[in-house]
Amino acid sequence: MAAEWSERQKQDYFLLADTAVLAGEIMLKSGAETHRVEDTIYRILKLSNFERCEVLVVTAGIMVTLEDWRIDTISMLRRVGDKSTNLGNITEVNDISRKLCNGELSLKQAFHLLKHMESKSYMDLYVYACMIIAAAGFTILLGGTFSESLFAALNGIYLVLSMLFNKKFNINVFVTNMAVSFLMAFTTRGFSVIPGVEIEIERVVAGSVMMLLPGVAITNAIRDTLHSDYMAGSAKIVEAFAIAASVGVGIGAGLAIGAIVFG
Amino acid sequence: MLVQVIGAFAAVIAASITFGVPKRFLLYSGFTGAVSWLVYLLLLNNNLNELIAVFAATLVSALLSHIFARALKAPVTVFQIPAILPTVPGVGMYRTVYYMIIGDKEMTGYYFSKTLQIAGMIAIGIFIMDTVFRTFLRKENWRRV
Repeated sequence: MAAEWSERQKQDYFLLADTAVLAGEIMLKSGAETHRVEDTIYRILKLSNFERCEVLVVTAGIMVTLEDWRIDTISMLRRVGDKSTNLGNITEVNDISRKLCNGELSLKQAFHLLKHMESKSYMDLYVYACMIIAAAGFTILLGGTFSESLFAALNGIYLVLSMLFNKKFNINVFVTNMAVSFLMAFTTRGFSVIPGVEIEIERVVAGSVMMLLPGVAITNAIRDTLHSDYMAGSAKIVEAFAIAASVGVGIGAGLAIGAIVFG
Repeated sequence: MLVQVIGAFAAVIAASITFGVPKRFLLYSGFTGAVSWLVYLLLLNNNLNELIAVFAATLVSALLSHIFARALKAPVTVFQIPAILPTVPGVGMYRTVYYMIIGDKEMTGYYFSKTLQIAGMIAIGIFIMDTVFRTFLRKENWRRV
């Protein structure tokens, strides 16, 4: 067996590590569970058949090391900052890595696909419409009437506005959550005093606030904890609590001030 | 009740789109959410405890998510995250805050603990189904899913 590998082979291993880290980065950014990211990176790195492939993924970053006596150690660290849930991206990377490990894709193809992967989500307009539909739908699901769901749909507009606002100014998510839920509670309280309008504030507000609640954080926290990744699990539970608290504060302030203003 | 289930179906699909769930999975995640909400309503109408209803609904949605994930080769979370949304305790949270504003400490505490309990039930439901699939279906490609 050759003691030294050619330059070209070494480069291939760099590409392998790059691909693995890139896949992990996209997944972590899109809100995948930590253990899934670790697993995906590990499977890709294992294609090298090296004795040592180490991965450590935390909620804020990825560390990877490839070690073998034939090459210099390859080490990479990626910090992953702002996240936004995109389950489509997770599916896509999952597909690519599965095909890569099955041998259906070459390393170069996989890297190319990952690098040029547009976040294949829906058109913006479509997403905005769906936020409004979701707010109305959740109100009906909670037993709301038709007119209640209409008011919830109006509240859904705040969700859209906050999304647009976030895109431009990149504000802390807790602040926007608080502001949105404040506006929702405040305006619903206002609508409820209009004569002839019969709505139950509870259903309208609870339904329209649903989209802000930390469903993603709860699910991922549980799944990470189950895979005995307690660090990620507890971090996400704290995240869930913080999000819920910010929404709660918003609703509370909206109701209280609404009561003063509208009597 | 039918209206509520249809509402759940629409809401879950709309939520899935905002989460970027691929088009080919939308109907499945909507179905999962609607069925779990149907289970919840049925149990509630039969005078069962809300906690038990949430627990059963989560079990059903987790079961369906795992089945779909395996059948369609997708991550479980694609179905799971949208599907638990209906059971997430939004009303409980609203009431907690509402009574806090009124200044009714007793009711605040009651609804606060209830909200936590419901969240805990969702957690346990997902937990159990995950464990079942991990232990009994080990031969399958479970780590991928």
